[in-house]
Amino acid sequence: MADISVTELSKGLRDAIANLESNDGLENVGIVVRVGDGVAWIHGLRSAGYSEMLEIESGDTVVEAFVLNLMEDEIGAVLLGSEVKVAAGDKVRLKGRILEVPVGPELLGRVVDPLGRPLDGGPAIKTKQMGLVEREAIGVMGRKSVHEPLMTGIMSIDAMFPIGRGQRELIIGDRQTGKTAIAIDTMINQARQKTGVINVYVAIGQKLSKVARLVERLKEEGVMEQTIIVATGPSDSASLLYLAPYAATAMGEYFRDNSQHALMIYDDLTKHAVAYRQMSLLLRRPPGREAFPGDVFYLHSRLLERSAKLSDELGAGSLTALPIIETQAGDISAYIPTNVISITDGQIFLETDLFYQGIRPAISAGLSVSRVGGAAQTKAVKSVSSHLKLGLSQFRELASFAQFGSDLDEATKKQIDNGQRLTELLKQPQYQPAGIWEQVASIHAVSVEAFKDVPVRNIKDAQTALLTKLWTDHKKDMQVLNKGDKPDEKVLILIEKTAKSAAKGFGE
Amino acid sequence: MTSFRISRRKLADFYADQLLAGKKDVATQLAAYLIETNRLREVELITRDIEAALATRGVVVADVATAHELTPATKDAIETYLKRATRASSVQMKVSVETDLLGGLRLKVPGSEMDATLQRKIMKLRAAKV
Repeated sequence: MADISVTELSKGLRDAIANLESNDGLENVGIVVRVGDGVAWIHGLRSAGYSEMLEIESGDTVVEAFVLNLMEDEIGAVLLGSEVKVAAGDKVRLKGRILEVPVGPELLGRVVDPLGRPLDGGPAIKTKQMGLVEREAIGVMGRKSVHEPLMTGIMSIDAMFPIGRGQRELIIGDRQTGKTAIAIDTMINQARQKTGVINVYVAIGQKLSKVARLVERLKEEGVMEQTIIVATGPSDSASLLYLAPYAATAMGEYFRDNSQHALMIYDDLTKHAVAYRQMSLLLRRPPGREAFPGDVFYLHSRLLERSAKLSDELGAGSLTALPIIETQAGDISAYIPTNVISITDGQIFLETDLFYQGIRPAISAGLSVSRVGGAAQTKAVKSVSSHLKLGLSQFRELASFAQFGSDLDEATKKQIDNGQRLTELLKQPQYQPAGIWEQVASIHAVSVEAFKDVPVRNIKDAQTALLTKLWTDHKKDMQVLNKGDKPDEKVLILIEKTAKSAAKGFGE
Repeated sequence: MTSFRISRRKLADFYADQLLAGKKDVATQLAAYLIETNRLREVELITRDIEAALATRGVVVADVATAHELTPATKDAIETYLKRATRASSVQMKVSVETDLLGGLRLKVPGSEMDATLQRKIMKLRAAKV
């Protein structure tokens, strides 16, 4: 038998494939049949694939587009540039690849558009790698259960609805209830606590003045160096708004896949769904409920499924997602809110009433939940906050009930009293995320009723006094506590004593 | 009478099959259908589809444009190349001279194109600069 070389066999096969696939310099071309509203209908290009990139040659310029509708006689493509330059009869070429964006550490500190082009006036971004905008989520075996905390620095969240790295926690509420504020504080906290978590903030159709203010603030807080901002404004085309969260996720995935931790903030997915609805209707896809297309659930589920905690074999990196949804008049049973609630691992619901009562962050204790974060909660915070959520929910219920009469028994009065103090304590100004030790000390002080003689209006002052005293007199103990381990009895007694002595100055 | 819209692709396939089978009245049939269904605007697209349908059946109509007149030897070379690239048994070439191309060659076959002209190279450079 003749000698068979496996190397040559494989080479021969590869050459044969290359010969068959070769088009000898011939490129697939089609022509634009009609164009309008950011959508081009193209004749030809029978070998085009879904989501494949196209180049439309229009005079001296080239406009990019991607395929979204594959029909028998023509294909529908969404333009990524200005449609003004595209005309019927223009030549269209297949690029043979799907959309990619630059990814890597070079993007840190930059403001870019969904295609990775700088918007901050800085130099061109040259990355070593490109990432696929549409990518399959990691499989079951590549994942691990969420077990590390992602501290937001917001006491009510970290104590009652803890978020873990790799979790998807929805921030939902009406307009002007502090949704973005929670997300920004979480980003700031990552820098303050030096967690090393990379922030990726996606502005979907947000006013560019708001984005500019955010960038300034993040620079002031020293957070920008570990942040990427992907910005789209209201005047951008629906296609860019649609692409923004996917492109940003590709940028976040780079860190996840390189054993780092990243936090995605999608601000907000309501506008994303609206942009997709616009595109779908223009592509003549049949409308469904609220005129959204049939695959609007898949639109968000495939996006959020990419956030995950990876297994040790894959480097144990994580991608946490904080999507934001805006509700109308507190209606969380609308189409998009219910979809995203069912996709995520919990939600933080912000109430307008609470916000205008001055309870900020206006988190509803009853409607908010974190489904997987319990396992990831910092032991120190967990040890002092086990009954917090129940107590607060019961208080809010009792408080509304108590409005009808003053004839209440002692136990109820005490519960209301405690609830009022707790509510006051959990109020937190914006841009002031709290460290672990501050959270533990504050919550423990109220739990052991150290502030019971302090009038509700003075609670915040008493809390400040307690924290100042603890940091001045017991800095070492607080630094140990800040590591997040379960505090020993000695430290808890120390906090209680200091709280009681701090409270004396604020009693009636 | 109710009528449903027949896709351009199906019309083109039918036309190509009939044409290759030697039926001469197929053009009249298609014209009558397009008039009746008020689809005269699609004539150009249907022509392109028919060319593509013929190409898949081994008959390729190619547009060859150059900045200068081609020699018979070059024409033969192009025909050989097109037969190989499109795997066609018959290639019909329409040769034209377009001075705007500045230099090089542009080959158009149904659904595909090879643009190796100076004009396109310059355009690409301009686009890259933008």
